[in-house]
Amino acid sequence: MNKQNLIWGLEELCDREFQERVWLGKSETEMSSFVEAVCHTFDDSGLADTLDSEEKSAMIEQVIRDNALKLRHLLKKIPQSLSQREIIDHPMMQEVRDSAKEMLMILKI
Amino acid sequence: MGKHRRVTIIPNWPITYIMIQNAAPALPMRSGTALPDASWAIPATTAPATSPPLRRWVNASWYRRLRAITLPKAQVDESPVASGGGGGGGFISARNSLGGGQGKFAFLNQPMYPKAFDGLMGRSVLGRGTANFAGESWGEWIVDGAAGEGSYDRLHAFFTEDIPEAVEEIVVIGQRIIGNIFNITSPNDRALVTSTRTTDAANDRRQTVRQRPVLPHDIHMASIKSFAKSTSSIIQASPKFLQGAAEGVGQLAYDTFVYDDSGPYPTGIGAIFPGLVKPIFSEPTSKAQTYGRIAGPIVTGAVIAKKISVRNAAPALAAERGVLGGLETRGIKPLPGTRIIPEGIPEGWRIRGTDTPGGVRYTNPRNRNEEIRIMQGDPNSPFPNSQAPYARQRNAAGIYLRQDGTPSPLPRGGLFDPDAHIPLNQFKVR
Repeated sequence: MNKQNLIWGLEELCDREFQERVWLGKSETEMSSFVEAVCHTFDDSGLADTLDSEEKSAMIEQVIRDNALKLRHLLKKIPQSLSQREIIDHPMMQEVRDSAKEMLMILKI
Repeated sequence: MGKHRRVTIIPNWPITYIMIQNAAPALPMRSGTALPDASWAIPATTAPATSPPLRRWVNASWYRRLRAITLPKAQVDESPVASGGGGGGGFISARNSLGGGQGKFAFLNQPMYPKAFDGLMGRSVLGRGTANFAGESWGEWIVDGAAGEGSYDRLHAFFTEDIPEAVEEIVVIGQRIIGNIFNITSPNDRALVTSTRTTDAANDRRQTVRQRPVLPHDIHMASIKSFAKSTSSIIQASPKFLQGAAEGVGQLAYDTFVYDDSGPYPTGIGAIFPGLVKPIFSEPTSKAQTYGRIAGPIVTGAVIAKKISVRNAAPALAAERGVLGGLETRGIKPLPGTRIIPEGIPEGWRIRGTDTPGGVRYTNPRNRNEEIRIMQGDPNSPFPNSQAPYARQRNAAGIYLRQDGTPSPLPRGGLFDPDAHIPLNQFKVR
């Protein structure tokens, strides 16, 4: 698992201001989206592969695993079909941000 | 009448028996042409008193009926197709062969092939096992169980809401299964390893077929890509496109089946390739002969009433749930090109779905940094380069690459670099 990539992904998921700027196309030098953020966090980092593998999953700390599973669960509740604006404003997104922030803190300890 | 169907039969192939369900009760034979033998005749019992129009032919109730045969009733009720996702028209074929692993396949060959396989499902009961198929609109099949040689029965149902009104063709070709469907080797990957070989590599034209333009309905090209002419075999882990599929269920394109290549036909493209087969098979040749032209209303058949012994119904249901309850029911229909392995992906790279439904990752197993992601895109995205399918590629150092192949100079390895979001139609593997 690539911890740096995971941290970058979580930083994106927990930062509403960043999302407003980058997901909505207000930055000229950066672009991203909800889907990309999920990919950054779970795919690019290898977290998804770790969680999906019993063997690999057992090798990470339980608190990280639990938080990751919770975050994944929350993310799946947000319909991809919504616009980026709607996603940012989605009630579940605050829980996502909180969960991502929590996980980020654990990783940075 | 409005609807015309042509049945093209390749008689020299090892076909032993066939019933074409959507044929007129009395097959109007072309003058001077005879069926190879009596077994080709359309059974009289396939003609109901009233023939429903094609568009109504296979409807939800038919689907339920099909499922009712193969699955317990309680499970039938959960069919997403039965609840409205299914077809207003369609095609059912049945085949029934004995001995030697020989078979045949009937399919609807029509230009709108992206929709031709909407709701494709089928079931094969093979000599030593059961293979259950269910597919989505692009014709992916999932298979579970071990297969073997011997006799088997098969049902195929093709549901589509958009069968062309004008001219359609049914091409019937011979098929010989000389490979085996292997059991899934890794429940985590849900990968199915298939192995096939052709009897005549010299005549194998799959490499030629690959040169055709990429077509929307071309998931099967992906499997063809892995055909190794030198060894005349395909050994490939099928891609995991089926997020949410039941554990232990693999996904198979069509590479388990190898067609008899005694003639000048490309092997391996088979019936599942209507868009490709048509220009090759539609004209009679010395080996492909048009036997009849069927016109008139489509009729339903009695073959569905035949109960098939299914020893492995529970995994079949899981398989069907995995597909039919997959991307489609999550509101995502994979766009053309997003289910094709991009040209240039090295052999052995792992293929997985992304954590959000719709994307596919190709990863170097020896260096996870090196990865290509194919994403569906979002038509409402504020960024033009991700309003349609796009690709993202990271090099061995984990840096995102731009369209020209140069690593992004932007922070965080180019994670947010607009130039590292490459429209799929302009993407080249670097």
